[in-house]
Amino acid sequence: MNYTILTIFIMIFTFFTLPLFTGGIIRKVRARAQGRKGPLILQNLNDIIRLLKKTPIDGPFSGIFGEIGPIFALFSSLMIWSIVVFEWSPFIMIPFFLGMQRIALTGYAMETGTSFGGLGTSREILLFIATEPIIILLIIVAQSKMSMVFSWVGLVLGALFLSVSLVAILAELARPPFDDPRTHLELTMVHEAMLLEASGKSMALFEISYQIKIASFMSFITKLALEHSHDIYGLEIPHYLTNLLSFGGALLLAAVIGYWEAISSRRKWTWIPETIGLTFLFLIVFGTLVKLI
Amino acid sequence: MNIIHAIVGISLFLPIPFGFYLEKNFLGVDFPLLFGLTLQAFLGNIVLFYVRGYEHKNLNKIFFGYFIFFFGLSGSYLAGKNFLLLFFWEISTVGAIFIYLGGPFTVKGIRSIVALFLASSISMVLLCVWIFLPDNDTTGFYFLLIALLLKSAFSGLHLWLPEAHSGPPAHGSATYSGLMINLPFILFLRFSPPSLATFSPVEFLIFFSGLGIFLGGITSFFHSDLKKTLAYSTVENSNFLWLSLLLAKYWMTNENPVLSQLGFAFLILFYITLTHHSISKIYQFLSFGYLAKLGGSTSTDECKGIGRISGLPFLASSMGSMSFAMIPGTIGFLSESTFLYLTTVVIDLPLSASTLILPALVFICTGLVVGSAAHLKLYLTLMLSVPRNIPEVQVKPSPYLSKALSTIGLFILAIPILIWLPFLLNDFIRMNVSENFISWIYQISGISILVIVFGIIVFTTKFSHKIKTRELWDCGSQFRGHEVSIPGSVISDPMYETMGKYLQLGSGESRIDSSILNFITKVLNLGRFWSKFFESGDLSTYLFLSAVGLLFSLGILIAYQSLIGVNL
Repeated sequence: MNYTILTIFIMIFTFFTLPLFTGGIIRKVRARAQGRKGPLILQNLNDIIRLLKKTPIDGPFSGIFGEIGPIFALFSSLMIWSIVVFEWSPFIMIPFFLGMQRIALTGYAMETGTSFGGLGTSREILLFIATEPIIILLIIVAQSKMSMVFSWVGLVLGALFLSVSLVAILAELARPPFDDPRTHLELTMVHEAMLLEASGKSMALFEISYQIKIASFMSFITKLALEHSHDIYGLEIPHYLTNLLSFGGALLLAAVIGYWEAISSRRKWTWIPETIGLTFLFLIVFGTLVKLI
Repeated sequence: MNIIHAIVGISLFLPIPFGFYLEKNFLGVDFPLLFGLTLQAFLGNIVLFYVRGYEHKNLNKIFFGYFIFFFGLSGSYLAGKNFLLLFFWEISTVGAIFIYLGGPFTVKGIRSIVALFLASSISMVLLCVWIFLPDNDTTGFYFLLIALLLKSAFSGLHLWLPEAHSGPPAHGSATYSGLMINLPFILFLRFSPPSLATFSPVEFLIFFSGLGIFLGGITSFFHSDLKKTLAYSTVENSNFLWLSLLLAKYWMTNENPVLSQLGFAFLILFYITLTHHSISKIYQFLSFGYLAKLGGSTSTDECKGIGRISGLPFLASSMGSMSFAMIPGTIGFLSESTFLYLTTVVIDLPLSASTLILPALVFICTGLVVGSAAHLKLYLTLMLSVPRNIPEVQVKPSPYLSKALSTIGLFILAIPILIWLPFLLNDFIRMNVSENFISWIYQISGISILVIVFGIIVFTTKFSHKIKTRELWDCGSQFRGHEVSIPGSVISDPMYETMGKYLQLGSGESRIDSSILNFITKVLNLGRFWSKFFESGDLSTYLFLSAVGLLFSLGILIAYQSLIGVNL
């Protein structure tokens, strides 16, 4: 792929700046939608800098995952993010680095030996089993050249596909209605429960990797929409514009998710596998229909 | 120095020069045989070293058992289509009995021997028909196919495998699962017709292999016995191997160059997956089998946290799980990522070609993910959870055991680093695949190198964090962790209501497998009904039974003739 200097500049700019904003925008929009002022958009950055200055405290059972888990979580996030932004490797790689991040996180949580760590791990694996096949299907579609003829039906189906993709991504990012990071009730949360024992620099690295993961998925979804619009509707969008639109689209998507979080609440666990299972079946039926059309 | 160990170890390499002596075309049509024998020679030797550390009784008898076992397997590779194959096929099963001599014959052990003999004998009878039918006879191929599907635990024919692979000692399970299972695939690749495009059951088999991946993965995840978890994972892998092999055989000889290249790419995927399965599965059985021995149980929950006191280093305890969890840098990653890559190519094919895999895709994706979660569950529970009773002194494993596991761990990391090399150097290895596929291989190898280099730096320098101080966080009443640590069932139970209960019994056994086994038991129990006639000793009764038997056999032959349309 031949990139112009402008495209490369936009990519580098996106790589370094988007993760700073997406998580913050979600929190800000959610707060505003609920009539609160909310934290600064860059509050996550402030928190991370504060945590980075502190030495982590390790538990009596912490071991190798306590030492390497956080940095591997960050490494895998950076790999995913660089693949999404620079497309130096096919998107197929994303599920494998997500797997690496998951092992770093669940390994860290289980190793601390607390019941909360185990509880969070158990739920994380449930989400993994439920969402991973959908993410894999999404990525197969993203990588393929599947296309539809241009029509209103095509537009509606495309929008439907993106909204279903969003369901899987909300689950993967542990956002409502699957998980709710703001509750901080140990018995109900997933991602935060696994990190209860993390502190100082270790916590900061996990937090950076999470913020990067949010940006990666926001950007991935917008790229998926743009690139398949390009294939499907024959729009000739230059690379720099695709990347610029992807940057803006990711910010917009973050705002939409912030609003969604303001009006939704976490659902009970028994509801989650059924919902995601239905989503998966829908994607299969939908994919087959598109292939047949 | 154990002389018998040395002799058995060296003997594992001898079939390769002997194959050259027999004028096998190892760099042509017989390449699959060379591949199988090479895997067997290297991995078999590592298993023998493990045996030195694992067993303390009847060591020489066990080595002798392995000699017979590997002699049988090597002979089966080299025998070709003649009656010697039957001899070698059965002798490998006989050798397996000696493998159990390190400890007492338990009920589980005896059940596993019976299961192994049953599968081996039935497949031998079927192979016998294939051997004595002419080379290009379609009926013969059907017999070969069913024999090999049975021996490799294809979906629906896998009922014997969980019993056979979970009863032996750790090294026995590892050898069965990692090496013996390779034989049917290699024989199929070598002796099946060059193209299966006109073979109508192939589409049905591809769909069923997808179903097998799904059922194997699910059962593996929910099972509470760690050895059966690994055995069902073998069922999943075996079906995945069949999927790749059947797709390869379906497309390799296609006139369309795109489809032909795709067929060869699936063949390379088959070789990668076979290597992954052999190496990673042997590692898992050896590593978790040792933990089960330490814990005195094969229950995943009862062995909770045993890994922490096992004294095994990270390289000897974690690599197999990382490989099955498809972590970049491991051989499992090579296999699964290549499958996804090829799936994207298949999806872009015209509908007639892509329908071959599309219907099974839902099962394959879910099965692969759940199968990977099963290994993750085992790893988290056995290696990272906190044990109930923390002993004062940590166990020190035998250096043989620890080094054998570390060597396989190195294999898991070394193959992704080196996989690009044969593709660069050898035109034969490149086969007929597209340049895009070769680039893909270079790319996944490059990514693996990147991850491994990063991993080595992090492990050795611990630059990001090194534990210096430990403090107990207040999690209530000064609980230290082991009182509240997490067993494996906590990881799988939340999915039971939604997914598990339809396929699993409360005990963890597969609902489908148990139903089929119950049905077979009921059919076999019909013998009790007949036995009272035999006991009468009346000649007319014997004549009546013989007549019924003959009529039944004739009925089967006529039904077969009318269904398949083959003149017998």
